Amino acid sequence: MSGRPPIDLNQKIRELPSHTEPSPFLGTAPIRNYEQRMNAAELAVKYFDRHVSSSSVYAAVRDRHMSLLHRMTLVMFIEAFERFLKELAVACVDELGPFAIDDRFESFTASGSNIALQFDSASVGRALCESDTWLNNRLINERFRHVLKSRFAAQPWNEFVFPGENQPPKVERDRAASLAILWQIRHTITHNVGHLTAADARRFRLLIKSDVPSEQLLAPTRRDLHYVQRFLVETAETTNQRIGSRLAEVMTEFHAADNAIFEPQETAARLATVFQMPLTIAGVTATP
Amino acid sequence: MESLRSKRHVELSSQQLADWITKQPDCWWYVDGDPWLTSRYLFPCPSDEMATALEAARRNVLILDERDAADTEHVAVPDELDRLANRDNRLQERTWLCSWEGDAAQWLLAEDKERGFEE
Repeated sequence: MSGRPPIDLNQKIRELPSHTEPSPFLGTAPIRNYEQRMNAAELAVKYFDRHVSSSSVYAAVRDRHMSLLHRMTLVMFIEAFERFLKELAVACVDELGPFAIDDRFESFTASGSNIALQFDSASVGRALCESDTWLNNRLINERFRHVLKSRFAAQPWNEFVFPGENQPPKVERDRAASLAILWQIRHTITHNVGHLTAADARRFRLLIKSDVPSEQLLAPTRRDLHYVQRFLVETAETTNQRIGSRLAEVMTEFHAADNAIFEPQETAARLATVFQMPLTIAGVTATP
Repeated sequence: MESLRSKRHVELSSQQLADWITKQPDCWWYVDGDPWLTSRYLFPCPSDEMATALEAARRNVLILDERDAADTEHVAVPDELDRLANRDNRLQERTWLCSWEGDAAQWLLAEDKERGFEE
């Protein structure tokens, strides 16, 4: 019999979501999950690169395939960072949820349906945070500034996680500007399969302040991947410290208003584990 | 997964391995596949960071021994770890298949001749 055999492709697609393996990324500490994901993505590229012998392949074909692999890995890096931010936000909302009766969670847009889908998780944080995307400095700032505002404060937290021009803290502005470039790179690869459209090129022109060729295919090198990996891991570590410290401050404020609301030792120990850093809540310090 | 203990292997403490790594200050290293190490350290990394990571692990490491049985008696771990290394890769980077004592999961310890692209 010649030609392609008939296959029930509809059924094959329905079977796909059940093809799974145990996830190694189920720890309670977002920063640990993140660093593991980043290493896994970088090392996957390295593994293939070191085992493809230069003498047994056609260099042009190899380079073309590696270029595609690099684009996919770059997106993995950036989307792992998005996942890290979500996990941080989930931790903050779950901690504050039982005590907060102000408007700190109003910046989330989760629909009733999305919240209902999280019914089994028994986590307010997951219900509110997981259905939104976290791929934009402005939205990320808005959400964290509201979640981490002082108790019953009219104004959000006075810091921006990824500050723009003229926003505090000044020391984080360069990092935030670089992250904005990575969000745009993710957009270009995810939505335009790496093809730099004229609109993409204009956006990069504004972000980088120099010309970027349009109608070209983005071709990140292994060196590019390594620098992005290191930048994002360092950004994650700094963000983890800032969010963890701020959450401890807010929890201390809640405890000061009602010292029977939670046990500081227990809460400090739990959050030190989640954030993997020493944290002090209501005068009680815990270490991971 | 079959444990390395059921195959020919050598065993040493993570401290011994860290000490051996420290004696090679100009190298870079990476670990591929161990969740404990890869969730705490950024790889590839220079020798001092690799040694710190292994010291913190405080466990025994099993390393696969793929040599002919007749050669086994000549190995004094860790001084001759080079002889256990697999170099069958594009840059002939020394690579060892490892597992922690009591843990079936296997992972790679390897040198990185590209030095993390940081030089």
